[in-house]
Amino acid sequence: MDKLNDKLKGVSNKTPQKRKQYLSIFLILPALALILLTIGYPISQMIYLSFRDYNLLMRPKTLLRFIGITNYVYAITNQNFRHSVVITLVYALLVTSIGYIIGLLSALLLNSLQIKAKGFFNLSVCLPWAIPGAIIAYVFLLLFQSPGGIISYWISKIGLDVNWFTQILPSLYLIVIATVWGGFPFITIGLLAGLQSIPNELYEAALIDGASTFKKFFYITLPALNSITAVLLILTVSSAFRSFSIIWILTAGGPLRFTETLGINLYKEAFSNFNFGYASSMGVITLLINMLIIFIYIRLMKKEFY
Amino acid sequence: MINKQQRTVINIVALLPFIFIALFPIYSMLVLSFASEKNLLAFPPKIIPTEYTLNAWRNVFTTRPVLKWLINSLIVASSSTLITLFVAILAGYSFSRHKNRLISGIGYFFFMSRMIPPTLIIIPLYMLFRKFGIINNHLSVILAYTSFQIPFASWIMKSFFDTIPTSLEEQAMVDGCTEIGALFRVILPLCPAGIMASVLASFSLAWGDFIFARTFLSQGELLTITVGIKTFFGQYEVHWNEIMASCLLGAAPLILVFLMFQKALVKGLGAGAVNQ
Repeated sequence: MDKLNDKLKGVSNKTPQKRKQYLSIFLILPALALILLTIGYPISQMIYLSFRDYNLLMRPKTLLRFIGITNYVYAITNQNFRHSVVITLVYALLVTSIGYIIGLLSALLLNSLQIKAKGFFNLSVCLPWAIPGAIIAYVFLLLFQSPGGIISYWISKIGLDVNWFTQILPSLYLIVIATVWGGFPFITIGLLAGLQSIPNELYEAALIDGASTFKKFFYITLPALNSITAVLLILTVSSAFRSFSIIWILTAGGPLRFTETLGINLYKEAFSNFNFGYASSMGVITLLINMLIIFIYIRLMKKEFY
Repeated sequence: MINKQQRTVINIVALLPFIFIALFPIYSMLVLSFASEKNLLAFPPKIIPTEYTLNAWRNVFTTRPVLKWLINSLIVASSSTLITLFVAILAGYSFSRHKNRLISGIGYFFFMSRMIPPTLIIIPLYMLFRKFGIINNHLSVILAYTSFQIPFASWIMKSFFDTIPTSLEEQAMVDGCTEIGALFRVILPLCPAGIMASVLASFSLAWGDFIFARTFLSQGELLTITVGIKTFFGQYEVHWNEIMASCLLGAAPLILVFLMFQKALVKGLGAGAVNQ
């Protein structure tokens, strides 16, 4: 603490305005330095590597040779890469839409509950939120074993007798189910907060006007949730793009690379094939897709973040 | 017309499927960790085991390095959380009180880095940490967690500082306090909920990580719990009850934290999402 104050004394003879500016930068510096070192620098390095021939399995002579956009051309013409883009988008879409529907239904039900034990219900529904993704994956690995898993057994009883790990579409459903299970409580919590901020007068006015439950829902509740919904959807989409452990543990991208999302594809290229250059070009493309999502988010919010 | 009581009953019945979905995997984690091997292999599978054994729990603590992994997780998660907290208090204060172009530009950059998938930066980060010589060292994951925690933690701190009137620290500064002194002596004691929310969010992010630990740590005794459990699958036979017991141990700290601080968490994160 004293050290900080000593350093600040050095600038105390400046004008208050200047001093304030120095202080603000000084306070932010440790955070900024750490982020630049472990996020900013790696990203610039990734862009650099994406234009280089960097395969650790090759002779060192050609290592880091500049090869222009070869990696990008290879990515775009590569069927596996294109498939991973499609599957990432499908996965993100499914996770977000199903998660939102479950989140909305549970939030509405929790919000309309008017009993003392309300807290217990809130807590139970939101508990999956506390479980780490990897742990979720291990548990779902057991519950969906075919045969022998409890849930896969129940599902086979209602006529869907599939192997969740070796069949193409079920493996996608499996990672979606596991991701939604861990992710929907976040949407529930967000929407609950949104629902509780709707002023009661609106409903009272609607009651006087004789509006039906459905009308109240579509003309008051949903519009009031618009902005929080936008935030939650974007956060869920971006967390679907970040998703790694659940897919890695449950399917590892299989069967036949069907559930190989961008993240999994990139990771395999880098740490199984040691093709760092090509993997980096995939990273840059993923980054661009992410930037697009962030851009949409910012346009939706039209607000300053800090 | 249905009366209020009937309405409540319908409401609760409608909620039951959601509660079942949310709790069943947690229930099975708990119950199956006590089930015998024979029970776990039975077909059709049993929801309520008929044979119970403590073998899995004994093995987890004796022949398996689960305790070591839990301690590792605790070490990396709490050290990164502590660093993050200190750094995020300073940054959050700056975001809240020193609004100028540069600071909001940096805020924007922080926000962007929050959305970056870890998979993207893992290659260059691996190369960087290899250069530093901290691969297979807890420092590598601590460093990686810290920078992924900072943006969110400083944003939480910022939104809590925003609720405190500036007149408080101005008064303290008139009384001879420096601005940083005012921050730590006057402002900070007023937002324990903010500190709590940042600590919990940061800690759970680090505790739940898989990809960084899997990439940067490869020696068995260095692994964290989330990654360690994966090694149970490499052997000839998979002991599911041991895996479930370890999973429960790996999830327990966060479940406990969630149960204890649910209000602060929901307030900090939920309200944050609304105001964003």
